[in-house]
Amino acid sequence: MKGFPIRGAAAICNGTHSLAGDPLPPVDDEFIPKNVRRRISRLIAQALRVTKDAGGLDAAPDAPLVFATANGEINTIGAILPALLAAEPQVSPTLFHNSVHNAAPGYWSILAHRLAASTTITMGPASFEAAMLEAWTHLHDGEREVQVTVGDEAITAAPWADPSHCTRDFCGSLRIARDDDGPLLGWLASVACVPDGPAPFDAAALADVLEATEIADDPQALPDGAAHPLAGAAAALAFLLRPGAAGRLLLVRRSPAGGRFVLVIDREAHD
Amino acid sequence: MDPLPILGVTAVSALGTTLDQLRASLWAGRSGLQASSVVLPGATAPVGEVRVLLPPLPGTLAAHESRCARLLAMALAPLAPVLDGLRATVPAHRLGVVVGTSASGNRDLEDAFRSDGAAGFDYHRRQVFGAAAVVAARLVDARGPAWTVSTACSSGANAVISAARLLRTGTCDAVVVASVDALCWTTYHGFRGLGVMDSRTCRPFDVDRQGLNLGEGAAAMVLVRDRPPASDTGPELSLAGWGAGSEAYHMTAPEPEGEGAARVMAEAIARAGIKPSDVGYVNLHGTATPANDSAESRGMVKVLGTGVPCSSTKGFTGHLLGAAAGVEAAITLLALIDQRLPRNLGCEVLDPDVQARILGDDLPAPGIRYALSNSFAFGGNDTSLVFGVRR
Repeated sequence: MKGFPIRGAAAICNGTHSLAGDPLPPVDDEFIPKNVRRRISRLIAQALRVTKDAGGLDAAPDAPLVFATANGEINTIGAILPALLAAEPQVSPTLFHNSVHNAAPGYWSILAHRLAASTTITMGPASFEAAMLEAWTHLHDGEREVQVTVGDEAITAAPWADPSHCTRDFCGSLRIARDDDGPLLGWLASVACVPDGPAPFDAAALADVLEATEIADDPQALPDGAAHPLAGAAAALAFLLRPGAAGRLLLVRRSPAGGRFVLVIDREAHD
Repeated sequence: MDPLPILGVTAVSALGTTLDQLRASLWAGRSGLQASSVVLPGATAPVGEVRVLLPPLPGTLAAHESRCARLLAMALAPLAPVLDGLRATVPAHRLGVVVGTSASGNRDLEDAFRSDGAAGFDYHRRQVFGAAAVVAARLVDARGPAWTVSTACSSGANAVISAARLLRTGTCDAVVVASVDALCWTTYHGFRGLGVMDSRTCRPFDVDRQGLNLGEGAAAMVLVRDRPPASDTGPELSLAGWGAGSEAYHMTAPEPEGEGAARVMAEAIARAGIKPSDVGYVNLHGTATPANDSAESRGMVKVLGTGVPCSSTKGFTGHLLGAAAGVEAAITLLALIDQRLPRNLGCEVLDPDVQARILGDDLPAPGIRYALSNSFAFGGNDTSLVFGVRR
């Protein structure tokens, strides 16, 4: 069970810290010009950073980008709504074009000068896992590399959206290749969507069968305990980025449409 | 690539709720654009509004109620016979769902926000974008992978591409792919703020075009890996290829030389394994903004020259944003079925800068085999789909 090699990974919490809680180096000002920085959301800024930090600028020129988000630019929508109550509503053009779910990959293509395809997948708390299955189909369908970037920001300007389910900014990114002829962080061994069956799903039993060393069964929070819809991505990235880790992670995520996404990620011990 | 059979297609728009109504309006040259009567009262620009009563969702899905969800349900309902026919050979867990949308339940959120700050609004069931795929999966009883694709105005096309990959990799045996968007004030005032909305009926490729009109609706189709034997005696429709790419130019303005449009059209034709001369029609993105139409025409000419007939059908429906690619795919498939190409409604005086062969009137197209449908979006997200027909 080798699967597809993972070439690079990066994660950022609250715009400044790693998943382990360590401060990250300051962002590269040259990559995001000041005039762009002023116009973009926290989500876009952090998604750009992790896409770059995972090695996105070194990816194959035709490598597609799959962006995953549960809530997208929800704070931008929250900022637009009050403007609609005016007698003569004026919606900021910048807020409007930043409000689409593909704003982050759009900015990435412009700043990184990348002509490759991009898409945005969203499926509530299963957005990361669905995007990984989408990426899996890209690789099986002949793409030599695909990058998956995920992100959701703390809900600060949309009180109607139950802010308690997303209380931190978190973005992460993975570069996954088809061939194992480059740097190696781990392996995406398997991704599947498993339907609900007559018997209750038993993640622990599946972990036994797969000889997993870690299990993330429908995680709801980041490593620091903060609720987040992309907690599955955080578990996967923590496993890949933790110094000296080795073994097999089983990640299970209930889909809002029923059934479960199941991901298996391997890491080999390195000297 | 091997073509992926299309077993059923539906469309809901200002032109009606059935394919026959869509066909009748298309061939009569009858636009659905007019002043809003229901969804955007007081809007000064024409819109393509769905003017029928939208039935409520089934009781089990009542928590997901929104205008968007109702439009989606209306587009999915006519697929029931096709899906019933498939269930003997395609178990529910091998049936996937991909839905494209760019606004989801935003229209209902706006009303709730105006009423009480949306204090009681169930965002996670009514507006979060993934809810569209949840509703669709439950309505068609699909237990395979399901998700929403949201890339603004190319959402519907990227949903088709996502579904195609699920089939090509054997992840699913059949996929219901849909797209939907309801009119809302956010997009209405957003496009007004960008200065790209025409206060008159939109005029794609006209020398005096001023911008787009918005529309709403939904579309759906069933894509399968293998065509069931003797499934249908009519024309065999298929998704023959696609192209997708980024312009890397600007968040809202197209690259003016049409390089991005040309790249995805060329990729789509190459993936389909056909020659440019095999393409009998192109349904253009054709928003009627000065920048889009000029760039798209240039891209068209780079790949297909000046002889291939093409048209924008947004003068009929308005720009359906996340549902545009779906409804325009249905129009493109109708052109292949009927062997007749729809006119570019609204253009009175063709822009002399436009070199593409814009159809001033319907054109009979006997023997047509392949047609393209283009969709472009904010962020420079470009797509082109190739559809085929065999009789």
